[in-house]
Amino acid sequence: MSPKTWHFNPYHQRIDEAMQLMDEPPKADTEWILFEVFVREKRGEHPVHVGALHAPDPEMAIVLAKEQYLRRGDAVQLWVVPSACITATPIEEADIFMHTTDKSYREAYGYRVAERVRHLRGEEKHG
Amino acid sequence: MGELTGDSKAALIEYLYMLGDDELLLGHRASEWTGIGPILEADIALSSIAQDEMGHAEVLYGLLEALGEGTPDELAFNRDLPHWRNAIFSELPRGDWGFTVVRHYLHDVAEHIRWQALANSSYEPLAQVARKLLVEEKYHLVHSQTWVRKLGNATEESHRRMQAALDRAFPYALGLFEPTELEAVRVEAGIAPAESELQQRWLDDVVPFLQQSGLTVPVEQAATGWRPTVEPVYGGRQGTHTEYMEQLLDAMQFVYRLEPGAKW
Repeated sequence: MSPKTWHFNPYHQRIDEAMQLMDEPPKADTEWILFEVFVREKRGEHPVHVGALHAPDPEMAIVLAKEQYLRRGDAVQLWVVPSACITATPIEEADIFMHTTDKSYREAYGYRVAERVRHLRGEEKHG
Repeated sequence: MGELTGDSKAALIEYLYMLGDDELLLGHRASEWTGIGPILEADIALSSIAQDEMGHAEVLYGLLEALGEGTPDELAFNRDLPHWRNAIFSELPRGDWGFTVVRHYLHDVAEHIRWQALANSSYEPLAQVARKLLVEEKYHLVHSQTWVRKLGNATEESHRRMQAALDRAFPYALGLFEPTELEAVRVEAGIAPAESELQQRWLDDVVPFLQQSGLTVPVEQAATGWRPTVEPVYGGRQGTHTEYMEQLLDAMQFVYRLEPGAKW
């Protein structure tokens, strides 16, 4: 079968069409909403933030997030949350989280977990 | 089942080509959207689905290889047009986004019904493949259903495009269930159910859904269920294809045929 000439120039076709139909194409943020995406890898684990995507509504966000973020890897559940629902501290004010005085009383230094686990398993070393 | 006899082996082989060719061509048409999808997320989702469909074709061609037909690469890239057994439905150009999602929806439902039935095929390798592919197709159906439901009713333009897409796709979709001479052998041997049975289940599924999505379907109510009021477009299952298929094969097979069997 000899190769025939065929026209396949989708880029040019789309640009031409867009220029014919619109004075100025709409910007992405004017039409689709931004969602934050969380993935729960296994049952019992916390959903983990993996990124964001645009979608027209929550249902579509789920459908599209499945391919944006779960083309590979494991998961048992997917969450999407409109980014507008998130309230966040400004990054410039990260100093509200700084500790400048001694707060070691809040650390769990005295609670030796590994020792207690070994004891429960009957493996505790005798001095 | 016992040993595959000449007739039932030929019937099985024909069937595997039918299913595999539909998957490969639909995957190929979907892949034509890569880079030019209406929006990034939709582009990525459909490209991923295209990869899935091509992977499904590869699995089905693998069954053909085990039956002595050739490697999946040879079947995909070195086979001439009259040997293809896809429905003409699968070779049509991708059209606009509406046509693409309507076509995917109609095919995804057909596949769901088919794989469910084939999970009980008397040919065990096919039954195993059916059970595996059924799992992946579930998401494909969620994806295409969501698009059809949302675009069917959204705006005047989306409704108009979706109705035009359905009007064009529906007669060709009926071609997915085109009867062939060897069908009776398949049904007798328990390899696959009758196409007319699958078509009826398919109509009972897609008609209410499309109507709820705001679209008019060319069907009427009959005692046995929904009945199409348009003629089906047949021919693909007999190896009769259109100039769209010639263009598609030219594009898809061009690189392989420069040097068949080259190692990449």
